[in-house]
Amino acid sequence: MEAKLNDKEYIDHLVFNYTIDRRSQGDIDQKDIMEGLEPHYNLKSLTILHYGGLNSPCWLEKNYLTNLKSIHFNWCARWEDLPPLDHLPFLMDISTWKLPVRRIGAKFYGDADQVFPSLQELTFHTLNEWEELSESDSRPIFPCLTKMRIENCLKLRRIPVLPLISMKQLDIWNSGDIGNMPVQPYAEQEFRSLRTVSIDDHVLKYVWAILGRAPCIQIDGLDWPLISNIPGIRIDGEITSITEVALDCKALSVLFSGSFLPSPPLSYDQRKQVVIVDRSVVQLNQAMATEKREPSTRGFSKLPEECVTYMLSFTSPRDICRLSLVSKSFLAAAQIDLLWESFLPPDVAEILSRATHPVDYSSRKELYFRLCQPLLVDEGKLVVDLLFNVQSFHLEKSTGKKTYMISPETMYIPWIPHPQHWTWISLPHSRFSKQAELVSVCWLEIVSSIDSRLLSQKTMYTAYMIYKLNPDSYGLDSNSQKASIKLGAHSQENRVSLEPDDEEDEEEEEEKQIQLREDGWLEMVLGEIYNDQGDEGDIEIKFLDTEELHWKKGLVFAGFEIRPTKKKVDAKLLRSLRIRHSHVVEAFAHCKCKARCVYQSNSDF
Amino acid sequence: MIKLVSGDGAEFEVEEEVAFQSKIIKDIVADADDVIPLPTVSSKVLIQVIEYCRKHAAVNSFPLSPSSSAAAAASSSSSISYSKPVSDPALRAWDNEFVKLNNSSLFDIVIAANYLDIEELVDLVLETVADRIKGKQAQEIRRQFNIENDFTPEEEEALRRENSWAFQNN
Repeated sequence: MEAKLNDKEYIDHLVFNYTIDRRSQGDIDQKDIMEGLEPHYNLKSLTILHYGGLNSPCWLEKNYLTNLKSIHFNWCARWEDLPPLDHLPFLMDISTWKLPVRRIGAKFYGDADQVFPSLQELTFHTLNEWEELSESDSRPIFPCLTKMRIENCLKLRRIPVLPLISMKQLDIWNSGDIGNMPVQPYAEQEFRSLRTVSIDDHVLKYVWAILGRAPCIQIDGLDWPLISNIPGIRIDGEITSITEVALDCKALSVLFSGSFLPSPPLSYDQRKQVVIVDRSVVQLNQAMATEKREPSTRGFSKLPEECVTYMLSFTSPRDICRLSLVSKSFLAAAQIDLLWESFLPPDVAEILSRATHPVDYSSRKELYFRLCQPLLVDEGKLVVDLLFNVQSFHLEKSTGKKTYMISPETMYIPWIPHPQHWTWISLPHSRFSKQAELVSVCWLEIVSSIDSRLLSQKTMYTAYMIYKLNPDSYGLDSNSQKASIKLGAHSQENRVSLEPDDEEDEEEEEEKQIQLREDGWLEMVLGEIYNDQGDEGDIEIKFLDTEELHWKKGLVFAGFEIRPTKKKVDAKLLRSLRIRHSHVVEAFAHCKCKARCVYQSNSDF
Repeated sequence: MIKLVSGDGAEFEVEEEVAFQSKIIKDIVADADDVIPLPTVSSKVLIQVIEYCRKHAAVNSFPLSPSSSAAAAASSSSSISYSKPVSDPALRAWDNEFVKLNNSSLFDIVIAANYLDIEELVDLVLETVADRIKGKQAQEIRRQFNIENDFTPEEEEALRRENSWAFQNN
């Protein structure tokens, strides 16, 4: 059989119809026959029907039929891929029906610079296995598409953001739920030509994303009550000709951010049901806004934004960061300056003004996290740690109580100017640029003080000595070492020892006096003091090893640190937390004015 | 007496001191008649709000214990007192019972309370909601409040990385 189709230059239309009984003869026959039937490149229209071959014929794949305008593939029961047709410059119409394809993507789009440059009509019908129409790489696909139809593709889950510049009609019927696709905002001009959208409820969300800015749309086949269950609909812009839209508040909280609805602003309950009737006349239909019709669960979206932010201020920074993953609106709420302001110390401005290096920040959230790191203040003589380290965050830390570290340079240490007794060294991983190294003394005394106004009020503080011991240190293990802390009439004196205890037994019993810090330094508890109003003057902190006057050496001293005593959360702390919230509340006072405005505008009519 | 009219047309007569728990109503009554339409508040929610105001008005005007008299004084004066902890243990207990509602009802109440400017009620409800959120993972919150995850997996992963500290040692 020699058909010599490739000589028949005047054939415009070809239909290859392999009837069902011929198909049963096996695919080798059919394949051979098909490959031999290569048409002339003048062919305009090609239909392949009931073809049993595994793939499309080779002559189709090599893009040699450059004059094709129309291609129909019907019931090719073994095709798992569509051939690449992207090169065909005049192809205007592709129709597929009953193909077992799973994915339509890279292969179909091919590698031409313009993917389907002339394609106007695209139909996917009864592709029972079809799951996905992939995104193309950055190339525009279907730039001239005017009509798209997807029908009976029940497994379909994903389609790309469609080019809608020239789209006039979009039909999606009886197909899978493609609601998971990202809602992509379209530019307004992209909808100029869209006239008819016909869809059913499986794909509502997607279609709504498209409808958002369509100027003129007829909708039919919609099951209206279902719309109220679609969350996160984004509609902004003008919808002028939709005959009737019914939405509940979930949708409308977004809808109302658009500009097409006339003022006055509607209140929340009224938003439950809005009917847009012709030319953007808005009617409130409260009769339908009954509790019965409400979805059983309604989320945060109906809360005013300031309420969500205020609510978050009752949680912790950790919660807020974790919850920013919930949804985009949570993420937005978690960035609000007012919220982070509530976790900052009230006198943060004053502290920042004393910072040795200016602190740069673009938001209160950024400032918060900046202040979780130590901050040098007062020409580097003090380190203030406002919020502690984020890594070990917990409730107590969210109160923003202040920790200070005091540099040895500011302290009274006898013999320190004399290099044969004390020298200044500079070690890495240190807060301050200089540390004091003990060369040799008999009288070891360190005295420091800090203004109690600098510390948080009504807070129990613990003072620590931050130090290291050189390997060749000696004379520092005496048990006559003393530490004291004094504020006003209160004072506390403790016996301490710089040498860590070798006996391990006790450490379980009581809190260890000496701990290895994350920065590699040791810290030893000196004592505790309660800072009530911060009006009792200086807190005096001392370390003394002056009873046994033998020679001592090998201590490297980094400073004293004073920070809130770690305790279980108690009522007092909770109360102080509560008071901290009052800062937010004050800030919210102006938000509440908004409610007043709404009320007044309501009472006007 | 002040007459409050809910969005669905139901009328509620309440004493002045009850209605004045709402700062908005207090401001309005000064220069208007005593029928106040509240078109945005359904009668179901308004009943709950009035119940709260009635209880708090009663406690505030007749302090049950010396500790609550300061609170009463603060709230009866015209100055704004924010986030004043409810110091009366009995009232605190009553509040705790009052907020044993589902999330949706709590939201309805807080919207009304925000609108009517009843700060203690806003605080109470939002703190309750915050308690239900604290320490939970995003996924749990989405389920609990029926919130749709509108992030792409990539966006979610990026956020998770950015906030990784918040997911550690919990």
